[in-house]
Amino acid sequence: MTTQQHSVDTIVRGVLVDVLGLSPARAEALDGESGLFGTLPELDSMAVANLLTELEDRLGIIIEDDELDGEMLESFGSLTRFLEAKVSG
Amino acid sequence: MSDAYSWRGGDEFLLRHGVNFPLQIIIIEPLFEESNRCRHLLVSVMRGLAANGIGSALPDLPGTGESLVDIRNVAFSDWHEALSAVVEMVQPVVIASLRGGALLDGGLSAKGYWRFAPETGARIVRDLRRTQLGGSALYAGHAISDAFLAALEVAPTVPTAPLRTLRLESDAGDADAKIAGSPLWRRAEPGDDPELAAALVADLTDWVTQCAER
Repeated sequence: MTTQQHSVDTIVRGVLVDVLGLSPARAEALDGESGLFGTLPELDSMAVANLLTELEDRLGIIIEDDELDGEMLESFGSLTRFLEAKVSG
Repeated sequence: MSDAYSWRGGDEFLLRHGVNFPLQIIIIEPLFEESNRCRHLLVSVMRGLAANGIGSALPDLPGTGESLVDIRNVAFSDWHEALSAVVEMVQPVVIASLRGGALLDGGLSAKGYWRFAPETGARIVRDLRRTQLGGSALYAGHAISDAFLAALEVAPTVPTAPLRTLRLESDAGDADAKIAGSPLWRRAEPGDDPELAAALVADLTDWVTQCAER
């Protein structure tokens, strides 16, 4: 992983702990294939809004409403890839 | 203890700890759902302050919490007016605010001001709208009026002095100090963070002491 990928990965895990209340061990165990929306019971629509806003704050990005779709939040890997692309601008 | 302040001829809920202490502060909560998520933290902070000899008052803003007023009939400027009534009653040394509460401390009389993780009105409105996925922004099942959202969206944080600003380490914004902790206002399930509460109590106690000597 590049430094940037590494930091996005770390930030996403940290936000999952802080927003969803996952244990750090559970967040650490997530891999690219791990399901998020539809898999994690903690991630309902209210939590999605909080998750995205906190990610925006920590990564210094803006996620537009039309960028939101089920695919982006499908797995840990799809979310981090989306965010890495945003961060690289 | 539960107390009340008067606003527009009615009583609004005011939570107080250490009501007889000479040093008093007012705490302005985060706005809307964020206030519920931070309630536990704030009550812990109030208890901690009382143990250090500082009294604190935490008002429910009209239309929120225990208030009998319908949020649909509340204007953003009403909150400032309500807080003026609390200031007159409590005579605080410091006004402490969290998140969107920092949009309301301007023009309120105190010897010092303290803000934790202050947030802009535009971001709060964006968050409210996003939570409803494009529908109207709701609070406790009621639509918040468009006029309210429009006023909140452009509400400035008024420069107040002397001011001390704290943020979490994970927050990139400017601050006088950064502290460790989790953003409880984002938690889907209300949580607690005793270490964060203790750090806030220690910082506020120092700041109140300094401001009282001015």
